[in-house]
Amino acid sequence: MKIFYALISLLAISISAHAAPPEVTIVTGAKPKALEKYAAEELAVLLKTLFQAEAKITGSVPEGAKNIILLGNAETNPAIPKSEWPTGISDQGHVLKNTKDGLIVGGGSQVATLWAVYEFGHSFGMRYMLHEDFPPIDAPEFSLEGVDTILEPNVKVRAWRTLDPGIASQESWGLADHKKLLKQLAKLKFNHVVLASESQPRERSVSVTGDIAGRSVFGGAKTFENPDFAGKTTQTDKLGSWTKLLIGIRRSAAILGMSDSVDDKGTKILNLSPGQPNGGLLPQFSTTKLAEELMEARKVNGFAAQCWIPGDHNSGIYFLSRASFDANITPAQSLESLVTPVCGEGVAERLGMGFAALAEASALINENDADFAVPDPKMFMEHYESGKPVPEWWAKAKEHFGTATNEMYRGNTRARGGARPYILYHAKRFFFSLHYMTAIDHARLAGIARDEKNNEAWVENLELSIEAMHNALGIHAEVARDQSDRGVIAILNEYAYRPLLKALDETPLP
Amino acid sequence: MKKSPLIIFPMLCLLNCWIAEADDWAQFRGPNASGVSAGTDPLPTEFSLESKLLWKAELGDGIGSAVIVDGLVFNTAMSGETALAIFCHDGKTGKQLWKTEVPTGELPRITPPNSHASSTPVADGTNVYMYFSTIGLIAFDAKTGNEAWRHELPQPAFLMDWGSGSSPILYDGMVIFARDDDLNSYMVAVDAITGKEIWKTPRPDMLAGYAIPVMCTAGGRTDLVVAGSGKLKGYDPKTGKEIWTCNTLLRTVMTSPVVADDHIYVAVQSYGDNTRTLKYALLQWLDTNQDGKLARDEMPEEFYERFDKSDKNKDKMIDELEIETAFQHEDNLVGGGNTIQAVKGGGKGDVTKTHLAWNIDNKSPSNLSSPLVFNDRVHVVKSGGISSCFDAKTGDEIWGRTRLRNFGDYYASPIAADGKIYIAGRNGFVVVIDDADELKILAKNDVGEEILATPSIADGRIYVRGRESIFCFSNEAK
Repeated sequence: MKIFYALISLLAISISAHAAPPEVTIVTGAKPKALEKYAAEELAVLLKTLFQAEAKITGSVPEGAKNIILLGNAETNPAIPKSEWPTGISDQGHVLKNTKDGLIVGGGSQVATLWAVYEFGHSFGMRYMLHEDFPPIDAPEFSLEGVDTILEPNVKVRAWRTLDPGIASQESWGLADHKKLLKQLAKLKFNHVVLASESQPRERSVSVTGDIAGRSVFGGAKTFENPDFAGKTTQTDKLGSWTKLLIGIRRSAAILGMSDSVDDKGTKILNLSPGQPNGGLLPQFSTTKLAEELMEARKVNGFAAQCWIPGDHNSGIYFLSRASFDANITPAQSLESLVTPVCGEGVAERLGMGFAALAEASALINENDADFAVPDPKMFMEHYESGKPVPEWWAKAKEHFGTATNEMYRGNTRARGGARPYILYHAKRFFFSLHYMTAIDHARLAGIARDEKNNEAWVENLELSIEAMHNALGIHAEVARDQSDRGVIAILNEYAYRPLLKALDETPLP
Repeated sequence: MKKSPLIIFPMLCLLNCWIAEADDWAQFRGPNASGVSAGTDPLPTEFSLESKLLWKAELGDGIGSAVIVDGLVFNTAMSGETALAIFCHDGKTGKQLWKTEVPTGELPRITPPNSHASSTPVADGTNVYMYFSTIGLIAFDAKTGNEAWRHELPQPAFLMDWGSGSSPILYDGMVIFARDDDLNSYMVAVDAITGKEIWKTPRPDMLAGYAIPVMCTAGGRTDLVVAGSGKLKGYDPKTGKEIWTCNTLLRTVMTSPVVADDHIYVAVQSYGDNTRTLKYALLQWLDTNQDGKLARDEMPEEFYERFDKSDKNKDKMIDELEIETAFQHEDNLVGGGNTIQAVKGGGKGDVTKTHLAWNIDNKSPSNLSSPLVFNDRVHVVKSGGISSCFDAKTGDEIWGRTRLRNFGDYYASPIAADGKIYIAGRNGFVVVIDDADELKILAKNDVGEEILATPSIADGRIYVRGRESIFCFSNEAK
């Protein structure tokens, strides 16, 4: 009977031990500065997300406390013994170090301490992307032991360029959007923002009423524009909104420990769509090319990452983030590190193959028509007007987009859960590209039929072109997450879908 | 002959009952899932958010249709991460009469644009009945929204993560639900008052599909007819026993059949040609490392047991010799294609060679949108806004694939009343065409919200379930 009770007790202890969430004490200095306080709060959120842990933030080590994390450095936090703080840590260096007093999560400066917090999350499988965080697909076991890292940057300035011109660029993002993005960039250890802006706001608005494709993304709005400019009609009001936006971005960046400038501060501009500097609307990227350009950035002050459609570039941004602290990481290793914790085994391989196919498509486009899909009122209808067949390289580019799309879907199937939204975004953006090219195929065929006065083929191909464009924008709409995505849909309705409908209306029936 | 009052009174009651129900739209696609309203009230041809909008209500994400009984409008929507809401509105005023929320538990994987709130309820004057993938069948009191009963069912499993999309029907005091998935397909009938199972019929040769059961009366017998992989089958509604099968369908059947007179009409497209059995899709999408075999970890977990059974040589792989019948029944290895067909009801046994009235193989049918049979014409509409029409008696083409000039996907099925056919596109426009021998577009109406659900018609009102809202259009509005 005693044995029975003992077993029951053991079982009860085991159940309660299993059920109770771990308790963690985060110890800061007595009067932590704003950024360290924020770092402590972020760490508490991470502990909750990763381990369901309840974290208490205190200014000193409470008696009998277990699971102690010492936040900051030996200068900012007296609980961190000077003897335990590694020597030679720069103001960007950050440290995760087990000591007998607890786990040190800190950096050579306040912002580096914040990065240390995010590195802590990263080491347990959290992955930070530009729109959201993904926790690891398999919940990690709680343990503060075995985490030992010292990171120093090999690229000092890791800048994000924002407000580059274009309806689908971040110029169309409101302050709330910018703030959200900046928070994600801080998690990826970016430390500078380049405001690639003009002093005056540019006129950017597109009508999105009536029969347009992918319109669900506009939520019933009549106009697509920067939301901070909504209802602003006078130049004074617009200027006021623009100034407020610029100031807001600078303040938000500063809160996260980022500096800012209006020029590139001696950095190398790293276009995340290499060879495509004009803001094309199709996904075009190659982390291999990016890695080559990062080598150049290491020779100067650093880099300023530039892109128009941020959703396309999570793998590139992640690579820049990791390679800035690990010069030996390869694009393939980076992709594996980004994807496997949040999608599971076997997914990175498919995504890698898909991205390789996309890089092939990008290279073909850049080589043959660098302005392809760059927003311009004539960008689409010039194909219809040309009355010429599509060039030969198109078939291969379409094949690459097709391969890239299929690989994304395979990766998505394999993932089952986790960061599926990340994969699906790529799948649908690639599929969008395929439909976009099909729309042009048919627009060109319609132009040829028009010139040959073959009304039946003229109408049929215009209809097929419209259908393909509708599909392209509809598919993009399914994964549109930010103003750049919505900008792509708005501008292609303006420059392609509506003009195609007009052309069809004006075409004599067969 | 003079009828006695004793006979006349019940007849009047029946008549009253018929009148009360005549204009209801009690289930997916209304009376017997036909898409044809029994009502005669005039319906608006042109409508928009500015014109003929009687009322609108925000519901939340959902793609099940509205059902209307006794002037009450029932809808479902997701009301939280893991909560489903059932709404009851007054059909005339749009006033919300009740809303009941049900916790759903952890939700399964689905593929957009499917919604977890995908099933259309069915209602009578007493209860509203619905299906939800993580729960099963649930009944709510139509007047109060209080839960009346629930009949739990195991979650469906989909190889391609499509997610659930089937809807129940009511017949003779039973709630009947066909639940074809990729693992354990069956049809079940439960008592509408108690929720207790009356019969359950396995459908082991079926792959995932979404056809709603329909009733077909022919030769003095009423059969319960269900379309599924490769086969249209007739069952005895009292027992669930199979009576006949017509083996003329395709691999994947997402559309529902319709019945007119004593014929059953099916229009469906299933990806690929007739050689494309399930294995090709498995090798294309589930074989993620593209080695030509399926490994266990390439499968969704819920299929592990089936995987192990199919792995005959126990080498932990489904290889080329095992894959054909690993998930598709060996007696039903059908492929894809297109078909529009009419099958005469009332048969027995294998009626493939005896009851197929006509069968067209062209590119007209949709994989999603069901056909409409209205005034002896079979209408189909597919992605791209392409309309086709056929003679219901002969299958002769009345008009071939013609664009409605409303582009995009079509998930909703056409519906008809008042001499008009209403076709809702995913883009939020409802195209109205004339019920005539020539395609005549009467209007293209902007609802302003994505539409995947088939609209409903009752009491002279058109109810359009948008992705987030329900819109009621009527001539009663300004």
